[in-house]
Amino acid sequence: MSDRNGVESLLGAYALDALSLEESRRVEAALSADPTLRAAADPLLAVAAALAEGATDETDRLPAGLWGRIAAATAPLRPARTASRVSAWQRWLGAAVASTAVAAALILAFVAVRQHGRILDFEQSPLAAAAEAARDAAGSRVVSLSGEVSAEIVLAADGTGYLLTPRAPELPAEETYQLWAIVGDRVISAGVLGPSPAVSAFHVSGEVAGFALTIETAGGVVSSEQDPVAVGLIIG
Amino acid sequence: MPDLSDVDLAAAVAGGDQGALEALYARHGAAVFGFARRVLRSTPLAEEVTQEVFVRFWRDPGRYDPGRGPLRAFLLRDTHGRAVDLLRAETARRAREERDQALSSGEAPGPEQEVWEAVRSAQVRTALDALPAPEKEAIVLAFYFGLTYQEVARRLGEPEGTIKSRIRRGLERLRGPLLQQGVT
Repeated sequence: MSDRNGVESLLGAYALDALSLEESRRVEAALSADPTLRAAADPLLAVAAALAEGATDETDRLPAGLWGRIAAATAPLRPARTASRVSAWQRWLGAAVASTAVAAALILAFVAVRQHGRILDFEQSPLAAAAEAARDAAGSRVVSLSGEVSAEIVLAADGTGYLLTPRAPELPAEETYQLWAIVGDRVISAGVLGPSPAVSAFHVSGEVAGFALTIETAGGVVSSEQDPVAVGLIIG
Repeated sequence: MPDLSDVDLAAAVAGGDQGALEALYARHGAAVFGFARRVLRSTPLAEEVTQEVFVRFWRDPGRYDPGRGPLRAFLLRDTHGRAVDLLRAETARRAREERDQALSSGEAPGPEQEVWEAVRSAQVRTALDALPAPEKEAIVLAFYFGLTYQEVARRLGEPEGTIKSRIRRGLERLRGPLLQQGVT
């Protein structure tokens, strides 16, 4: 079976998000390159949208406060197309600083488990197990990072943190994810994660106001000039 | 901005207008949240997905191509993708296992009942009911329960190729009833 035929046989399941991550990437690459495959997929995607529409109704109500969280996550992320990247960080920092006191921080340690393209690795990782244990511990906080990439941080009361990115898109080898902690008015690198992190651990002292994830050149940077691909502020 | 079309608002979002994003949230946010909640069976996770869908749209509005369908369909498709990601992630795995255990032990409504609670549109119910039962079953398990086709195959004891074919044929059969009646 040719690869095109192989991809075509996956289009129905693709429309329903019923493929593995690896298969989804393969289909998306083929759709980008082949207009006839795209034309075959579009009607199936339209049916999937209709099935989704069928699961909504007029009684759905939005939770109070949800827009406020979206507004907080979007206003500093991309303030204006003409603004410099440094300016974007400054605005983002401003939002973070407003919610916390200035304090010193130190990243003490950092370890990571790579994705290897498999959720299975994540599930079997001792770090992932430690993160789950920390999640249930008293005094722990869970911070959702939103943006182009979704991630979650479990921050234990003793400053041990776990970054969970089991489905972050794998980057080319010349790029890396880098995690940043916002402490007071400072942005501190919390770890260079590599191109395919699944779960990472770090330790931070001080009053953390939020976290950001950027994509940098391999090896990481001391200070970032990239817009974050995900941010999460600690409220309250 | 109540008078602006979705396409106009999406263009304004691309220009960095957060008010346009808020208008789109007011227009489609409830549908996004409601759909996410029905797939995830969790209000907190549905809030997380709703936030992520709108933040992603703000960050990369160019992913939406007006020539390929309405914005609402794009947002709902993105919602499904993010909800399924969460369902399959480690953080939700335990909750899913507990739910599956409850389902198999008869402590919770069966899949059929859950689906009909999730599917609010009479048109969609009618269209799904008109499918041959194996095709309907494969589509429902994949779409409303977030299973991969491999998981559907294992659950039903069928070859993976058979499930892929059933999903494809079923979607093609649904195309007429759903799209001609303008469900999207």
